[in-house]
Parts: sequence; C-alpha cells; structure tokens
Amino acid sequence: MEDIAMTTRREFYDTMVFSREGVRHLAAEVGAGQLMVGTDSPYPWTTTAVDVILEAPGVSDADKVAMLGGNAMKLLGLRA
Amino acid sequence: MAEAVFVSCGGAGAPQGRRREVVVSGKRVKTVDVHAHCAVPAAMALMGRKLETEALLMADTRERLRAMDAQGIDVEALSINPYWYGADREVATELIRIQNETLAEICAAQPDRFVAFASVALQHPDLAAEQLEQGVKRYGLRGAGLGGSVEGRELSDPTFHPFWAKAEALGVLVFIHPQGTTELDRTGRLGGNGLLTNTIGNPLETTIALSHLIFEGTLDRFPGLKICAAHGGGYLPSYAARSNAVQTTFPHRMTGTLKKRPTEYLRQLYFDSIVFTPEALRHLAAEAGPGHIVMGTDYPFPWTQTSVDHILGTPELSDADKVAMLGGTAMGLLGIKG
Repeated sequence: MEDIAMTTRREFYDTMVFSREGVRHLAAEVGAGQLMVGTDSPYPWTTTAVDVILEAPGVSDADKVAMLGGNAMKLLGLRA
Repeated sequence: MAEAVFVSCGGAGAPQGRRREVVVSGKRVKTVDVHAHCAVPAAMALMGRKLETEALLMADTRERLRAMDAQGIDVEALSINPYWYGADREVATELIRIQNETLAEICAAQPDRFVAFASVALQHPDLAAEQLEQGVKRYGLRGAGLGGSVEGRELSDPTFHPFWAKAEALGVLVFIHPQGTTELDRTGRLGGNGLLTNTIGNPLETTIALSHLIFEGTLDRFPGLKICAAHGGGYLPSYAARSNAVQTTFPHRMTGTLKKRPTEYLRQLYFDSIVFTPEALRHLAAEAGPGHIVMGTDYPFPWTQTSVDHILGTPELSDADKVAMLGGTAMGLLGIKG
C-alpha cells in the first residue's frame, strides 16, 4: 500500500493557512509543487495570501513562484 | 549535539538488561514520558469494564521497564483513560479511591521510575476537585488525567470551573487525553479503513476541547492553569492561525472578549511530542514554543517506539530545547527531582 506521505504528492492544496510558518510547514509536508495560492474571496478570511507566501521562511524563490501561480497555470492551462 | 548511549545495570526492581542513558551536550539527561497508560482492574470491575491489553497492568512491571530501558525513558508519568464519566456519585467515589490508592502504591514501589496523574470523576465537578486535592496531598500524585469531554459536556462548561480552580490553586499539571469523537462514530463517517475513529477521531477531539478552552475564555479565567494536551494537541497547532483569522472574518460570531489572540494561548499550554516526524515537531515548537513540549510515548500502544530519538533527531532544535523536551520541562511540571 502506498505511504500516505506519497499520496499527498498527487493531491493539490490551497495555501489558506494564514501565516508564514503555516505555509512553510505545509510546503514541507506536501511539497511546494502541490500548493496554489487561495484567498477565499469574497469572505475576508485573509488579505495577506500573497505576502505569507513571499515571506515564508525556508522556502526557495522557485517554490514561491510555483505556489503563487506556476502550479495553477499548469493545472488550469493558463498562458504566461 | 552530542548523544551517547551508556549501559548500566537497572535500578531496584529493574529487569536484567541494557538501560540506555540519554546524554545531550555531554550531560546525562533525565527523561520523562508524560503519556503512558496503565489500568487498575479492581476499579474497572465496578463498571464491568474489561482490560484492553494485559500490557496495561502494573502488577508485573518487568516488560514495561524493559521497554523504558531500551528506549532510554527514566520516568513514566502514568495516567488512566477515563471510562467512569457515566458513573453515579457513589460508584465514582469508590472507583477513584481504589484507582488513586493503587496508583500511589505503584509509584511508591518504584519511585525512581514512576509518577502518576490522579484519576478524577469530572462528571461530579466538586467531587473531582476533592479527589484531585486528596490525590496530590495524601497520595503524592502529580496532577490529574482527564478525557477530552465529559458525557457530551465540553471541558469549558462552567460546571467544571470548581475543578479548574482547584487544579490552578494546587499548581499541578492536568493531562488531557481524548477518547475519540464518539458523536461522529455514530454517523459512520469515521468507519472504513484506517481506524479513523482513533487515527483522526482522537486528535480531532483534542482540537475541539482545546478550542473551547480558548474561545470560551476558560484559559483567561484560570491563567495559572497548567494543561498538557496529548498527541501534540491534535490538529490545533497545525492550523493555529485560522483561530486568529476568525476574529476579523466573522467578528459578530465572537461573543465576549479574549485577553489574547487565540494562537497566543498555545504558549499557555503544554503538548506531548507524539507527532512522529522532525518536521511536525519543529512546527509544534514554532507554534507553541520549545519549552511547551514534553515527551510522550503512548505506551503500551505501539504508535511510536522512538520518542527519544525523535527529539534528538530534530535538527532545528537546540540542545537546550532537546533537554527541556526530553525531561526538563516535565520534571518541573510534575515535581520530579533531578
């Protein structure tokens, strides 16, 4: 049976975790390639969805780019 | 970080075998396991309860000590998961008396290896307060073990305030261990593969219990309360910041005023270290503070047999953090001498 940790690498998640530490932890657990920014608009849960990714400690620029849009562009067929 | 393993003979009553001695920064560290289960059959008989596994028995502690020695656990803080919250006052009085007396005898027989949390009948809050005081003062027990709810009542329910007041006044640690989200069990949503009733049901109940203690103001009312939540506090520390966000997202759903932001209460609580990976422990330390994590094993249930190595092998922790998690913080909370 597949390890649950591997299964998570086939699922995608939004980044609605509200804090830089939360983004850092989520990326460490599931991989930055599985994450896409989310805001919950129009519900005012967060106004810092972009900032918590940009400021997440221990996350590379490439991973931040992927989370901010790269991953979603691929999945949704968006052009640069 | 330097860790060495020494071999020595066991203490009085210990089995023949190798006792691992944990060393950090060249110093021997006394290690304490705050999450260790046991059972007292004479008390269970009053409720017609059967033993889940013989490994919970304390009549012969050789196998338990062998497991402690192999892993490098010096002291276990024993607790008994509540099964008596449905008992009437008379039965609950006798059951808890038997149980706390027996726990005291177990600890007295091997005081260098065992301390214990008192059992209390929280369904009768005034009685529970008496039982805690008696447990601490007469029997030398070090705190109380609670479930995550009491027959459908949340731990934040005002009827429990007399118990929290007593625990705060005594300055002793209260260990909260969940018993699953039994309300969900009935719907079947936690059925199927993976024992979800326990795997996620237990941490979910802890998440609910702690959230109520925060949002209902219980932790404001009793700021000196020392609470340790099992299983790393369930899911609360993993998604802590959402509890802050709700204050601005749905302010009209926040009745009353909390003295602190919800995530700040994590630093008023303690958590056991049963989160399995270095990444999870690093994150728990980031959210709660490294001084708020105390080692747990869940013995005799084999969820993990590497609790000591888990802490030693988490690279982001300082040696001081590791010493605190392995035993230093628990020794202070439980009154264990060095």
